[in-house]
Amino acid sequence: MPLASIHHILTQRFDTRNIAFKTIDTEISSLEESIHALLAFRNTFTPAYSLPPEILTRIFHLAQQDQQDYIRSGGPPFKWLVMTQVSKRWRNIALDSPNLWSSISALYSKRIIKEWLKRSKEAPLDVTVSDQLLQSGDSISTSFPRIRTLLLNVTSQNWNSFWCNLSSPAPLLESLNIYISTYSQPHPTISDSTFAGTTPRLQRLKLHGCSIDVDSSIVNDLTSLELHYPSRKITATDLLTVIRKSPRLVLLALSNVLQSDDAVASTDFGVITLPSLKSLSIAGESLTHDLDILSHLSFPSNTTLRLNSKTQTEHAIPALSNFLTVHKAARRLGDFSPAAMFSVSLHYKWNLFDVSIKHKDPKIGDVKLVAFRLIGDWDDSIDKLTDNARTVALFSTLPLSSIVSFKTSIGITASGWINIFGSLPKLKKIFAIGDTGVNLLSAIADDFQTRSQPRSESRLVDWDPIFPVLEDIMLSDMVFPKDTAGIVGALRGRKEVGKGIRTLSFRYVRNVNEGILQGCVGRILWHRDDEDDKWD
Amino acid sequence: MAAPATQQIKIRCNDEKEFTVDRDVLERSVLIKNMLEDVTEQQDAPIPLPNVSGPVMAKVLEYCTHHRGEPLPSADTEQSQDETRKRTTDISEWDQKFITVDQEMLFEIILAANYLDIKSLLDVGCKTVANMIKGKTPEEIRKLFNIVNDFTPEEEAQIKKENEWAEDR
Repeated sequence: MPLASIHHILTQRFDTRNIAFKTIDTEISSLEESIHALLAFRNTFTPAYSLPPEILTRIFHLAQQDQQDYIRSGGPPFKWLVMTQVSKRWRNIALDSPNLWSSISALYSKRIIKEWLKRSKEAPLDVTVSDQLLQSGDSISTSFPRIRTLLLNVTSQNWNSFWCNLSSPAPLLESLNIYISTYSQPHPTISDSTFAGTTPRLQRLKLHGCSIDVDSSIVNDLTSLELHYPSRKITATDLLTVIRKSPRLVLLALSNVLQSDDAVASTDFGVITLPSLKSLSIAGESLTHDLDILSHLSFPSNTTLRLNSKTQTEHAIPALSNFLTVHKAARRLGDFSPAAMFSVSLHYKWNLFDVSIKHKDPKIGDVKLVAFRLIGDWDDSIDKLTDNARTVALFSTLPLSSIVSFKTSIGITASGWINIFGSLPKLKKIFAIGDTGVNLLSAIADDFQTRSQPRSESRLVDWDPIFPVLEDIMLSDMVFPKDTAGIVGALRGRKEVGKGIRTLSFRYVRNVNEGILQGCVGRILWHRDDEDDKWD
Repeated sequence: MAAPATQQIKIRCNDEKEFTVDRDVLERSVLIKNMLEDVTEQQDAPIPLPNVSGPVMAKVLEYCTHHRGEPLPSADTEQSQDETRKRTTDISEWDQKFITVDQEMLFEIILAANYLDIKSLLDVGCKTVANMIKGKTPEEIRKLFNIVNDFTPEEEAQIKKENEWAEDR
């Protein structure tokens, strides 16, 4: 057979095969389409299908809202995305709900931020900016006019370019919360150029570590004003000017705001009435002029008033005297009983430790401690501290045996936890920030391993665990240990001997395996970053 | 002196089932409240409710009777963005017991609450469904609601991609 003929036959066969493939593939694809159409049609007969899109959207929001709290506290993000992965209808409804995509968090990657901004269409945005998101700042800067709530929480020094972006009007902004670490430089100032002075809907302003221009038009008609540790303190007269511009205030919190050498020019001010005020907190080093502030304010007698004086040891006596004066004056202002806290700060080499002592009742002279806080540099260990005579003296003189709650960020080692705090008879609540929480868990696990005597797998004999009455452990800003066997064993053991942990709470804690911890403690909770009160 | 008698209102459901109910109980429904306000003369004819069946209405009335007298959410509150953001999935003990019904009834109650404009009941229903979804995988949710996966391979690929994004940190 000539070669040309062979070639012709083969080409014909090849064409026939191709046609067959094509025909069959088309048929498969058509059947697949029919199957998907049938599957979608089947779904229309389910009871859930009867819910119209607006109700399903409402349900998605609720499920998402609950998980947003979880995300904010460092839990795995996007669990709520499962709602978009159930069926075609659910997905289409979710993708068509801009508000579902309007929360932009620092935890998100650039890809996700871009996609979320697209899906949120024109919906107002709730944005959390931290050091990680500063790098993505450009991608959200074009969306600034859409921002409804902005939480800026940065510690690094490169946030300045982001701050410069905040110069255009923010017509939808309702809440602005800026936390700049006191160690960062430079500190921003809220002025008339911030948001071009145009924030017509701003209701809540919380500033930490930044200054405020008294004349700034954005500080106007607020319902919540919190000024903490401004980089530039203001005069009492200026502060009252700011307060007077927001007569509908419900919450007013001031920490170390006032210049120490300035008193109110009393002729300038009458009394500012704040009829809606529910909470007033004043904290300061010596509270020298805070009495002046109080004397110019009028608020309902059921307002909760918190006073907190923090000072260094050498100034403790005059500060305590001031504190008592303000406290007494505050008590005379209404029939409330203001919560009182007096703190002493100790300097140790380059580090600052805040030792806060909370009394059981407002009688300051009665030294019966119920709460104890030890806040300082994360890298310091309590073992190193105990070399310091002043610290040793502090621990030996403080009547720690009556404390009920203890909050710390100091790097206490496992042995430090066991030896100094482990036997405190009334300690019910521990709030540990940073790696000290890992050491706390190690201490509990070590104690179980070395001191418990399991007679059989499920029975423990004569084990008197450390922290004998501990009920609540709150952990923040840490990575949960990978090796959980010891911790789980100890928590189970405590439960078995009737000394179980009632709640284990997390905030910004990574690698938590809830499945393993379930059943070892009463409840596992996740806290948001705006729930500081619950952690004090 | 005896207290003035509460006005009784008659309603008729789509299955002809009729109920005679105290006006303040019925007025938990903004729809019925508006209807009653529009009627100036005393009417004996029952108010027709074509979108609600008798058994579902009986449950709705049980809810309205329990919550009678409680302040109704204002229109402002309903519109408030703040409130939308602050919603949680907590449900009171009584409401939780009340809403423990089979799935079909649950969805019927939600639809009735939506139609009758009873915001608090709509919330309880939606929160219940949200709680049912919480913590479940897509497959578990499908099983729960008897839904089948009707995604095309292209949509499945997109979902897979989104899951990979979620791993980026």
